[in-house]
Amino acid sequence: MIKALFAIISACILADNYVLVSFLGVEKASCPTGKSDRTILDKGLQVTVVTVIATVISFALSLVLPSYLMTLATAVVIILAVECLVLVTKNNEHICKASLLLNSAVIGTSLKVLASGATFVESLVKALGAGLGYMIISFAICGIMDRINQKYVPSAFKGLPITVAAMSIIAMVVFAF
Amino acid sequence: MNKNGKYTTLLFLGACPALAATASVQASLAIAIATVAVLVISGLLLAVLRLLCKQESLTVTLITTAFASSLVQMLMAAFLPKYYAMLGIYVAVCAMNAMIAEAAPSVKKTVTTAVLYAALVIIMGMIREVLGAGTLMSVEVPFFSTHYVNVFAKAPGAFLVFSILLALANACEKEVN
Repeated sequence: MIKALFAIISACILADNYVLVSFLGVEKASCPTGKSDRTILDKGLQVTVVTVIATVISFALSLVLPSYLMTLATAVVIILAVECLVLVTKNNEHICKASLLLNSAVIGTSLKVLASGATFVESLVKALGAGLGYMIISFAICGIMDRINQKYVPSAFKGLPITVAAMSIIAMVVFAF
Repeated sequence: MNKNGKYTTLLFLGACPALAATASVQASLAIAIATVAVLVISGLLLAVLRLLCKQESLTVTLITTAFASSLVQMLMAAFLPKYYAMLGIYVAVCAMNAMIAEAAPSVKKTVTTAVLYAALVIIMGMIREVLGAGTLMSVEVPFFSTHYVNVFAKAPGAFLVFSILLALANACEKEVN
């Protein structure tokens, strides 16, 4: 059982990384709000916590709600989870609500896990793996962009296009798994 | 990240569905229809809500987009089941999409973003299908049908094509401004 859960979590981080394979949260993972490692770690942890909470509650709701209401229900759960996180931490300046709410990794992971028909424990582990995978990719992109920004980049490619091109190379590495 | 034009950044915020559902022209048409429909319906609903209440809030915008996304999901499942099956969870992901939440509150921005996004997604689908499968709308393309590169139909190819199109959009926007 533990071996199977470890296999799921490592798959979510590497071979089946939700950012690079399913493109969930790609727009937020590739433009981290700050450059310091601490900020990216904070952001990654916040995304992981909200994803896990949203997935667990959505899983429970999916047992009682019809499937056509799940998108709306998951969106409401995510909004409530973010508000709760802000209330619990009492540290509003480090939590960017918009960045968490508009992150497709959170809603995408919850809905993908529900659609996969996983059990409760598997859903929980998948959500955790997705959050950790998101954090690792954010670190990787930030590190690569720090290096790329020291080199010459054609003006049209500066900013987002070169970041996406860098993600293409990381995706190729993950694709090799 | 602020080196990019306003619309280039906005198009990038809708990257998740654009990358996920553009392996073929048919899938890209489906995602273009879905995203534009969610954008237009949420734009209209938000315009009506603005008449009733002047105060704008992200939570209201997100619940509106989630409602529009659920509506589009149901309509596509009823009238375009073949296209709906191609998209999986990506219509639902539009519920909390940063591009839609940014563009929906303004009518001018909604129309421009819808047109640009549909064009981007369809062009991307055409390039990826020709290079990755050697076909266009399931019809074999001379030369490419025997010299296709499979990676263009997968995640790394999606990132690569998207980065080149973003660079083009960036260059065009700089030229116009």
